[in-house]
Amino acid sequence: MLQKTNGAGAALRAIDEAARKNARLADKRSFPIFPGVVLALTALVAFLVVYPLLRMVVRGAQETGGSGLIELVNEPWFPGLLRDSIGVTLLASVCAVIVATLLAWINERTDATLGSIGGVLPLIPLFLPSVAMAIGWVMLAAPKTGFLNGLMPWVPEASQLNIYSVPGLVFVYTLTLVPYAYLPISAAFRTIDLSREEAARVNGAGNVRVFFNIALRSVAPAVAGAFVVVAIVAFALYSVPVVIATRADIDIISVRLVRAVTQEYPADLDTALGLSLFMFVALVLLWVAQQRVLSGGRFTRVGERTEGASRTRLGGWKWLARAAVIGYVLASSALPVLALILVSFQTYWNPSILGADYTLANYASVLGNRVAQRSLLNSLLLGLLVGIATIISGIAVLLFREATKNRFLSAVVDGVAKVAGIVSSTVLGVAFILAFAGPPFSLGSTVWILVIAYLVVFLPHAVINLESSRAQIHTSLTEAAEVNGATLWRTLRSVVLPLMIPGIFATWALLFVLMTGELSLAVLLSTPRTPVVGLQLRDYWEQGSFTNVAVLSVLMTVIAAVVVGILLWAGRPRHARRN
Amino acid sequence: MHNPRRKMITAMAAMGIVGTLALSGCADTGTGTPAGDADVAAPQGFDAIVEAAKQEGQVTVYTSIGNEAVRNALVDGFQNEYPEIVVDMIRLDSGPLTARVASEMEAGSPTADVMQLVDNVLYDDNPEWFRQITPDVVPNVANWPDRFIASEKTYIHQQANEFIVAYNTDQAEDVPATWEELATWDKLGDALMANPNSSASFMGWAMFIRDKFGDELLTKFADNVGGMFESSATAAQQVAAGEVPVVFPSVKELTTAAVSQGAPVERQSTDPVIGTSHIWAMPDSKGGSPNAGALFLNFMMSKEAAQITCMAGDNFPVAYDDIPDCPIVPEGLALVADYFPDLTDEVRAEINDALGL
Repeated sequence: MLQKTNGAGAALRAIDEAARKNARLADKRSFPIFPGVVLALTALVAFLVVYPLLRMVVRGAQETGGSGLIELVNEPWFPGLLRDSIGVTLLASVCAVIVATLLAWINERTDATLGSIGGVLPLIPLFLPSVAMAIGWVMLAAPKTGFLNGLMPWVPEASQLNIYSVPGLVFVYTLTLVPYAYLPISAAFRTIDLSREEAARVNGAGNVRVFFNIALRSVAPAVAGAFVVVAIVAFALYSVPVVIATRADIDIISVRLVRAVTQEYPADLDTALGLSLFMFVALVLLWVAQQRVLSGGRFTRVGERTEGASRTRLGGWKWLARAAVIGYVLASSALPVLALILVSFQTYWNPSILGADYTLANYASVLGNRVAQRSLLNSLLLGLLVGIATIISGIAVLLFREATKNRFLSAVVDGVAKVAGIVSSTVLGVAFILAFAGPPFSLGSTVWILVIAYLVVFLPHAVINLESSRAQIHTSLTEAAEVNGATLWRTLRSVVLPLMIPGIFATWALLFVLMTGELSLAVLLSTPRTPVVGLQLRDYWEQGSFTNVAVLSVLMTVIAAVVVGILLWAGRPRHARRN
Repeated sequence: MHNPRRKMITAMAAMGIVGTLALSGCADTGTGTPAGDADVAAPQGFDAIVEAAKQEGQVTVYTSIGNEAVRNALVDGFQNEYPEIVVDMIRLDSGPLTARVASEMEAGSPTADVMQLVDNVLYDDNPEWFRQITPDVVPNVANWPDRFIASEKTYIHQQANEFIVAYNTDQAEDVPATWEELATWDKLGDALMANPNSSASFMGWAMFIRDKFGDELLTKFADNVGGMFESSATAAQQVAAGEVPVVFPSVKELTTAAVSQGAPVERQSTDPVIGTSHIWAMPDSKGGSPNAGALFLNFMMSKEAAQITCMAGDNFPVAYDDIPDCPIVPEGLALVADYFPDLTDEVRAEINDALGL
């Protein structure tokens, strides 16, 4: 019996071993060159990030040296630059986190929620190029000439809205940053343990106490993490301050850095390199802070959630809460786009909506300009093609991490794919000029320098978004595939990737908007031979041609809306297709 | 049969193929080594240049001309004569344009075949970057006064523009007619002044003020003015829109369009008169379209172009004294270009000190 049992056991073990061997062979047969391809890709991305940064650091050390950095710090404008940059970053980050927390709480935890639409509304600004939003707000709230001021002629000049001010700049920063904080905070609200809120209510706690003592404390780690993420984005932001801060005499590092390279003759490389190093160190410190917050936070998980618990009832405040959500969408998207549309049809920017002369000539002028035409076409192509290339790279990273058992390699691939996320695109742009524009690569004035820069800069966005899309696929599905004998590759191919399609297309849409609306890389790396919308927009802005700026912004927004619509439609879930 | 994975892979593959083709197309317009080559022998004689330019089929022009109607009229005038050649005209303020050309040249990937700035600092610093303007390549240079041709023949002044004060008539009146009075004008707190660091021509204006009145007047301007602007074109548009009541120093051509569209804008001439000029050159575009560039410059030095850019008297042509309503540049008009030989880092620092910058 024992022998029999042992024999059966041995047979089973042999079958099991054979099955595993077959599975391993099948794995290898499915994608024999895949790990090599991913590792080669990783090495390439590492080179494309590390080499330019090294060139920048070495050149910075050679040209400015320690004394150069001391000279930079001793520049009369440097204290003001630090004060303005850090002040605006902190203020805007705090405001963005507060607004995002309130919006997330309203949508996820109260009866004022607008359902699935409410969850998407705060993300709409992500799909509007930030430079268009900033220019739209200039047209709304510039002193004397802003439409909102034009609608309130009785308000004394000194009390008018003034976008060219610290509050104005912080306001537009906040609108831009809210989605970055909203995503992690709303996710945390979705997963918190609701029973504690129920218990507090049963014990007589009001909504305010429940919010501050239970809900807010439960998502505190996510709020802290979001604050650091938002601070990283704010510190590196270029498109908003270049439009508003320059005119408001607010000195922002990213703007001064780009100006040192692109506006001054001879180019002030000492200042550019010194500021790049400073920004790089600051962003690395913020990234370290984020890692500490994430590793120190205790997050509740889906499994811990108490289903069936009721949402917080806001009573009459429900309508105010809903108005706040809609107000945010109006302020971040609808109003600035409306202002852009109005100015795009005016003969010259006129705050009097009824008194202005309207014309189609501005559209004829922009669409008749060959460089503007090419900039629109190039941006469209780059957004779509580099977007899909970035997504394919991101999927490769994701699949490799799932397939490999080597934790070290997995961490290296992951780290390399995300490293550009902690380097500002402005800094990377300067580093790319130093590394690749001249010999031996001679990529300056070619489209390839833009292609490489976009791929490197936006790969972290792709990987992080794809990760969250992957995380939404429950392990029970992949386990079921494995139980039914599917190999790992087959599971990934047949189960994981198809279920990720909505996430993949949504990420593609996001990358498209980010790439077409990107300004600092466009200004630094694009030339009239390879124009993109960002460069043309900056050129029109520099020319003071506000009507053309408005036309191009409207066209950019329309193209982005159409492409995003098509991509989201193409990637909609299967059940939505049937409906 | 519904198969999302296959659809996705098909879509990505299609995008990949289209992408490769499309990016190759993009790259055609942006390779670092354009079709021609510097070693190729230049065509002999102007007729040969015209034929070679038609073969090139396009020309890239960098300019700081602020008036869109003038830019369009120049392109139209050139294309009437040479319909086979497409003109890509890129407009930027002179300061950023100078920086862009310098960075392109240093990277070995120049874009412009012909260009115009309002100062000659870049040209004088790097004469090796520019081709000589000689009668065999640009025949109209034979009509040009010597004063307006660089000694190394690497650039020419095509017209002069007087520095003026631009103001919105709804928001300002009785604007002073001298720089001295302007510096102490009680409404100067509402005005914006050009930051001399944003463009060499504004630095030239500051040198002129310093030369005539000393550092004290610069300091008075800095103490009394409401703020500074970086872009003269943007500042002019802000005056037209009523956002800023007064800006200086500006040039008439930046507000000509706004005036013709009915914007409440006026221009005040200011004594002593100082002007800037449009200065044209031919960068060595390493085979881009050098012949089309020469052809365009020859057109810019024609009577037709002088008539277009003079804008019915807003600017002064430096040649052709028989164009109606376009008086030629006055003999004694001071130009900022005359001051640039004295522009050193030390002078720049002293002016910044006087202005508190």
